[in-house]
Amino acid sequence: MNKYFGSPLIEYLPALGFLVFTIIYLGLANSYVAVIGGEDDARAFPSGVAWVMLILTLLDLVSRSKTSTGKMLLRVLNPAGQDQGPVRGVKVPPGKQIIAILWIFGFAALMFVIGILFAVPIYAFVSMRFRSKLPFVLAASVTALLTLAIWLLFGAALRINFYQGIFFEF
Amino acid sequence: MLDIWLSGFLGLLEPTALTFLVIGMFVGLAFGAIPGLGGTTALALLIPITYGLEPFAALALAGGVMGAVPMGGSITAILLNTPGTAPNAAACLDGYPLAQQGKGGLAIGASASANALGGIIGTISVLLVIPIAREVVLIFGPPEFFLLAVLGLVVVSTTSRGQMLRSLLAGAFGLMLAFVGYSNVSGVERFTFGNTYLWDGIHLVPALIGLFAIAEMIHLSVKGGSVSHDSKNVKVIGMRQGMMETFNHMGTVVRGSLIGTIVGAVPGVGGTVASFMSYSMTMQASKNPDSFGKGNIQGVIAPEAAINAKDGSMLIPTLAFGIPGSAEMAVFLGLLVLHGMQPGPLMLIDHQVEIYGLIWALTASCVMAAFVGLLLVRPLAMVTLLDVKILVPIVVSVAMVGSYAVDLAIENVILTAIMGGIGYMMIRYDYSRLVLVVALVLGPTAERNYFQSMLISDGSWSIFFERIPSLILFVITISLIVYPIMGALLGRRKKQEGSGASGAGS
Repeated sequence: MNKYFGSPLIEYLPALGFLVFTIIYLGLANSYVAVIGGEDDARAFPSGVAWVMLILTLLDLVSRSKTSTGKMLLRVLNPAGQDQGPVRGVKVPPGKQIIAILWIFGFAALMFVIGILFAVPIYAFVSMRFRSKLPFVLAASVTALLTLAIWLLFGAALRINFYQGIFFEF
Repeated sequence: MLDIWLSGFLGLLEPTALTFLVIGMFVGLAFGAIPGLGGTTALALLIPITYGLEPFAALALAGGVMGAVPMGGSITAILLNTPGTAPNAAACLDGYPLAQQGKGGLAIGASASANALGGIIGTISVLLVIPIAREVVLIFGPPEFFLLAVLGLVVVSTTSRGQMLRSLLAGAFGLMLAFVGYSNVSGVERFTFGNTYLWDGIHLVPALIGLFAIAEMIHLSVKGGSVSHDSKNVKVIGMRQGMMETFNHMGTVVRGSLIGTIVGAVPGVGGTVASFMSYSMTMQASKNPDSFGKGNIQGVIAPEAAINAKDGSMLIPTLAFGIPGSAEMAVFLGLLVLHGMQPGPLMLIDHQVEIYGLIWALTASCVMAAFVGLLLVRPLAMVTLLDVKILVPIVVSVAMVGSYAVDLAIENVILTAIMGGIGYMMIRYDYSRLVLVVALVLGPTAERNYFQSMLISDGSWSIFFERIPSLILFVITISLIVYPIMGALLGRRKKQEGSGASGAGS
């Protein structure tokens, strides 16, 4: 893996993510003009915090490098980061982590499109049967019980109207 | 005064009131344990049911719910790192590591007794405070609310020892998210991109479900296995020892309860701040602060004592001024109005028996929920043995549906998923989710009260030092920043002197 200033690119990812987010946020914050009170009141807090965030993010970015300045910053500002690697816990390939996050986004998207009562059993069954390779009977039984429990608790007992999805909503 | 206390207590012993108290306690325990539901949802759903009840029975039901929710929330917080309610998130920090070490029973035993004791101490404090409630709440104005918000942020940011940079970064990120939505101060929609859902800002409960429940499920699914690292160790043993641990740390219980009582009485600050503040202060006072976050039992006791203690004091602004301190209290205020009780100073005069009955109901529910919670621990602890291949789809499904159920908005589900992704990245790269949450809660409070203070003082910052209460808060805040730095500098100097002396000796 290519290293930049002594650290792999993956090490810089969170700080780079925060940097991009902060720059966009700062740009937006500075565009707000208050309707009530002083003209600057709408941007005073968001803009002030974003500038602080920008400084902190740059410090974080430098502290992740293996340069002498980076090591010094880490020692002074974040000494706990010295004795650990880029990530907490066991090392897992980035692809596996991205897939795990995508499963959640996929489930949320499924709920949004086809509604809760269809999305839950589909997500649960596909997750157990095809992702985790559990036996068909076990996956189907757990899915059925889970769907029933959710319907009983939220639908029957709490009388919550389940969202029906963009295709079935009237 | 004593006869009114007694009348309230005796009223609660009436069969109808007692029955509804027990029903409320079970409902609260169940709703507290299910992420995304909590006391607010439970009360909102029960309001229509109480319509035909006597006011005293309705208040007993509400007291039962509010007293039991924290215990229900702590069970899932400890065993699954999934706080049932937002304030229980603090119990995850040390409760979950204990569960991973096979000490879930110890943590829940400690949590149950801390809950009960916190509730009792909180009740005693409130009973003493109610007569002077009006004066106490009136002391706080916008400058004090602003400084209290700053104090909350400072307290939490200084807890992550050795991780100041990344904690501050997480705090700043939380504040940035906190400014999303319609600003009452400036009348401008900020960072909403025209989406009406974001007008109310980042919805706290769905965000918390994402940051804690979903993030942990992603982490588990990546890691594999079960919640508990070693299945042989997962036995729900040590509950009695856990209860005793609480009595061995009475200082922590009393400190947590007092923090809960004081913070709970301040409208808009809420239980989440109380529990995290209690956790942080206990950590700062500890001789072994590095053990926090790794399974220190005091890290469970401190926030749990604060959560139940704050329930009673939260009633003060709600009843005395009609200012609900939290969403739960706002719903409760609706229940009071439904039963012909108008919150305000007169309420403390006209409905004293009902008020004291409610406080007794809260206390009784805390204690009962602790015992019932302990009875339910064994079957619940088995959940930690469940293969993540089964556990993850179940918890993710319930959490997502719970997130939707908070205010029947499908956008909640999307927010939960996004915050889940962010929470997971924060776990992996060691940024503090705790600091983010507190900043998210306190951001709008700080901004609103800062501008109100500026309006009052005509733009002069001296308002933050002129008044005695704000001066006290300011001094506490500065001390909290300076104390650890001074401590570190003095420690370093001592070390240098020590090494110098040993060098001279040799």
